[in-house]
Amino acid sequence: MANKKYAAIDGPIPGENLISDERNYPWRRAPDYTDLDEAMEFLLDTISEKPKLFAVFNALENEITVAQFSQTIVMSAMAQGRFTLDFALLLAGPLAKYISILAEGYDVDYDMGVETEYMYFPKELIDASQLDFELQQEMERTPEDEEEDVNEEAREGLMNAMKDESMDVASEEEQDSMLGYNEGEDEELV
Amino acid sequence: MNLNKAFKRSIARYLDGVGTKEMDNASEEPFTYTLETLEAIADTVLEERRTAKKKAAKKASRTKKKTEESDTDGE
Repeated sequence: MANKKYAAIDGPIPGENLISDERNYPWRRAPDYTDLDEAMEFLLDTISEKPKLFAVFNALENEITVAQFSQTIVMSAMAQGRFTLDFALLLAGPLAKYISILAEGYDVDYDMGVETEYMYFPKELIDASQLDFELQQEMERTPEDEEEDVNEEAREGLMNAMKDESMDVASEEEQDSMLGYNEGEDEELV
Repeated sequence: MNLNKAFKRSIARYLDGVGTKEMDNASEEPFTYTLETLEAIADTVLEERRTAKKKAAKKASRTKKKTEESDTDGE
C-alpha cells in the first residue's frame, strides 16, 4: 500500500507527454534496414544463435505459439529501430516458418497458433460481393415497401390536418362573424 | 484491425504462399526468402545437429564394443 502511494507521487504530471522529448527513440529514427532481404537475414542470424535458439524451443515447449513468438521477436527488433512496423508485419510470416522448420528438426512439439488454410479474397472480390449483397437486400426490400401503410394517417399529429390545402377555409367575413365582430355594431358605438 | 490479428493474418498469408507474391509485387526485386529457400537454410542449420548426432551414436557404439571386449577378456 505504501509503495503504491510513492509510485503515484513519482508518476508523470498531466501534460508531461506534451513537453517530453521523444525524438530520440529508436523507432522514431530512420530504420537500420530498408531492404526486406537484409532485414530477414538479420532476423535469421539472431535466431540461429544457439542460446537464443534453445530459448525459443523452451518457449515453444511451454505452450507459446510460433505466431506469438515470432511477433515478439519482430516487435522487439522494431522497438530497437532495426526496421519499420510494415517490415515487421511482412517478416513475421517467414520467421514463423523458419522457427517451425527448426522446431521440427529438433523434435520439439509446437503449435503454429494460426489457421493454416487461410482463405484469401482480393479486395475487388470483396467489394463486388458487398455490392451484390446490397443489391440483393434492395430486391428483398421492394415488395414490402410497396405495401400500403394503413396506419400512416393515425401516426401523424392532429395539427398535420391543418396543413392540407384541399380543406376549405372560411372567408374573412365568416371568420369575423364567428368571432362576433359585426360592422353594424361598431358604427352604433361611434 | 487489432495488431495481433494483423500479425496472425500476415503469417497465415505467407504460409499459404500469398504473402510472398504480394512482397514480390511491392518491391522491385523478388523476395528471396520463399518457403523453399527457408527450408534449405534450415536444412544447413540442422545438418550440424545431424552430424553431431551421428558422431555421438558412433562414439556410443565404440564404447559399447570396448566395454564388451574388456568384459570378455576379464572372463
